[in-house]
Amino acid sequence: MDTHQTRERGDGKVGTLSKGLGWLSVGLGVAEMAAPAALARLIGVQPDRRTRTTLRLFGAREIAHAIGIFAKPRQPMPVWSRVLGDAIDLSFLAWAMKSKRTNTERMVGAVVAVLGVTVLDVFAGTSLQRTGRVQRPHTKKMSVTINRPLQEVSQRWREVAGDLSSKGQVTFRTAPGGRGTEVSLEIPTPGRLKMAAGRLLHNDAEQMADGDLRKVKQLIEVGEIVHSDSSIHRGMHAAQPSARKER
Amino acid sequence: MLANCWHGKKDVRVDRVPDPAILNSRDAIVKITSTTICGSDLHLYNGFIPTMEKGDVIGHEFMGEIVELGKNVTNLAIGDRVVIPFNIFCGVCNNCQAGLSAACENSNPNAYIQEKMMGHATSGFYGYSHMTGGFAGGQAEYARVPFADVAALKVPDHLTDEQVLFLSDIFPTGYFGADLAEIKPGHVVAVWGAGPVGQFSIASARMMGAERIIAIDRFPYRLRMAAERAGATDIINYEEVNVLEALKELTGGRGPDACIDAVGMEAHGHGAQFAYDRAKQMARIELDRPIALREAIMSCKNGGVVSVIGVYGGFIDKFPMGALMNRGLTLRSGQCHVKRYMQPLLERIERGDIDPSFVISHTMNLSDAPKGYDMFVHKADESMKIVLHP
Repeated sequence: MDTHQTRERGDGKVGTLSKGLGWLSVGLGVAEMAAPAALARLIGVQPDRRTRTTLRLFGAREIAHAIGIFAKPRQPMPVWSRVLGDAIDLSFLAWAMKSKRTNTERMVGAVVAVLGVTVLDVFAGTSLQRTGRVQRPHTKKMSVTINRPLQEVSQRWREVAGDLSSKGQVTFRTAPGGRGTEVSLEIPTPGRLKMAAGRLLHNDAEQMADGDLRKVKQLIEVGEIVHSDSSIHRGMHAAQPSARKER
Repeated sequence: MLANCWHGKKDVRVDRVPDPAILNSRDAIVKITSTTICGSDLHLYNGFIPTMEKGDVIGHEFMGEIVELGKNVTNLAIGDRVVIPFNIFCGVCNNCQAGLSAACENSNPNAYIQEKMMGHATSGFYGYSHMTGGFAGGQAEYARVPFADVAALKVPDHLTDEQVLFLSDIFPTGYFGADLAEIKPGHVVAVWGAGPVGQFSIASARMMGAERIIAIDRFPYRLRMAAERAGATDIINYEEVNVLEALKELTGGRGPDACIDAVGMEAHGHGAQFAYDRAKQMARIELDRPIALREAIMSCKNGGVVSVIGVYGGFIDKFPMGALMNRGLTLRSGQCHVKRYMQPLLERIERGDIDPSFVISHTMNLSDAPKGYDMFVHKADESMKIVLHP
C-alpha cells in the first residue's frame, strides 16, 4: 500500500517559543522607539541624543524581527536574525560601559538579561532548524501507466529502460480497470545545492528521470520515442523543420 | 518552403524555412492544398498563449496530399487526399483507446510544462506553442504529420477542399460543444460567440433537434449568418440588450436548457466587469476574461448543462461557483477529440445535411497570411473564416 500522509510536524512547542520571542521583539521595539530615554536610564546608560537615536534604530530592528517571525513562525531564519540582534545589543552595552557616566549595576543586569534571551533565541533557532530538516523528503516518487500487461512491461523494461533502474527503486503493479501497468520509480532527492545547480544548468535530476520514464512508456506503447520539430534540439528551439533541404 | 511564422505579439511573417522531414516511422509529409486561420490562432497573435518562440510555424487546420510516408504507415499511399485533425495522437495509449485523442499520453514531448501549469498534459497540437509539444503548424506549403496512420482522414474527390477542410477542427469542435451539452429534441440552446465555431455549434444543435437556438454576439454580420445560414431561431446583440434578461424573456423565465461558450479567454463585454477583467488580464494577474462563461452559468436553466469549447489558458476570477453548485448545473468542457467526429461528420457532408463552406468569408494566398491575421483580429470586411492556399 502506498502512503502519502502528511508528516507530523512535532514543532508545536518550538513554534510557540518562536512566537513568544516575536512578541518580546514587539514589546522591546515599541519601548525603544516610544521611550528611548526611560529605557536608557533603565539599563544604566546616559540618555543623551546619540543614545536615544541608537535605541530608536534598535527598536525598528526589533519590529523587523517580529514581522519576520510572525510571517514564518516555523522557519529558523527569522529567529537567527534575533541572535544577530542580540550580538549587536551586547556590543552596544560593551561600548557603553567604557563611559564613566553609566550605572554599572544596572548595566550588568542588562547584559545578563540579553545573554538570557540569547540562550532562548539559540535554542529556538536550532530546534526549528532540526524540525525543518526532518520535514524534507529523502526520495521522490514518479509514476506512469503503460497500456500493456504487467508481464510484458516488466520484460520490456529490462530491454528499453537503460540505466533508469540504477537511478532508483522500480515497482510494477497492474492498473485497475484493465488499463495496463502502473510503473513507479522512486529516486533519491538531491541536496538543495545540487537541485538548484541542476535547475540552473537544465540538468534537473528529477525532471530528467521523469522524462526518461515517459520515453520508456513511448518505447513500450508506440515502439519509438516521439519527436516534435523542437524536441529534437537541446533546449528551446523554434517549432519549425530543421532538415536543410528544399523539396 | 514558405511558412507563416510567429515572431511576437501581432507580428507574423511568411518566412522561408526548411522543408519537413520524416522523424518517426508513423509520420507522413503532406503537401498542403488548403489551410486556415482559426479564432484560437488570434490568442497566439494577441500574445496570450505562453511558451511561444520566435520562428514557430503556426496553424493547425490544414489538408492536402500525401507526398512521403514513414516506413510503418501502411494504410495510406502517396497521392492520397487527406484532412488532418489538429490533435496529434498515438492511438494506442489508454486515453486514445477511450476516444480522448486530445489527451493522448504519448504525443506531447513537452508534457512536463503543461503538468506544471495544468496538473496533467494535453496531447500535442500543431503550431500552438511549446507546451503542446513544439510541433510546426500547417500554415505552410508542407507539414509533417506524426501518427498519420491513425490521424489522417482520406476524403473523396467529389468534395471540394472548402467542404471538408473544417473537419480538421472547427466543425468537429462546434459539434463537440453541442454533443457535450446533451441536446435533445425540444431543447432551447444558447450559444455565446457567433464566430466559425459558434456557427457550427448552432448548426449541430439544429441537426440534433434543438427547437430554439439563440445566438449571442456583438457583430450584426455574424448574427445575420447565424440566423440565415447556421439555423439560429433568435439572436441577441449583447451590446444592445442585457443578455440574462433577454434569455429569461426568450425562455419563459426558465433559462436555456443548454449553454455553449464558444468564446473563451478573450471575451468582450461592457461596463465595470469588462474593465475589471481587461485590466487584470493586461496586468497578467488573470490570464482569461471569462465574461461569456459567467453569463452562460448565470443564464442556464436549473439542472442544465454549460458546455465550454472556447479556449481558456489559465486562471479566471469571480467564477460563479455558487450558481453552478446550488442550481445543479453540469459544466462540461474540453479540447475537441477531433478524430471521434471526423468520419460521421464527413458522412453528413456527403449526405448533404450541411455544407461547412458557408462560413468562408475570404480566400487568400499563404503569402498574405499577415494581412489575413490583421483583418481577422479587427473583424475587418466582415471577416468570418479566412482560407489560405499555399
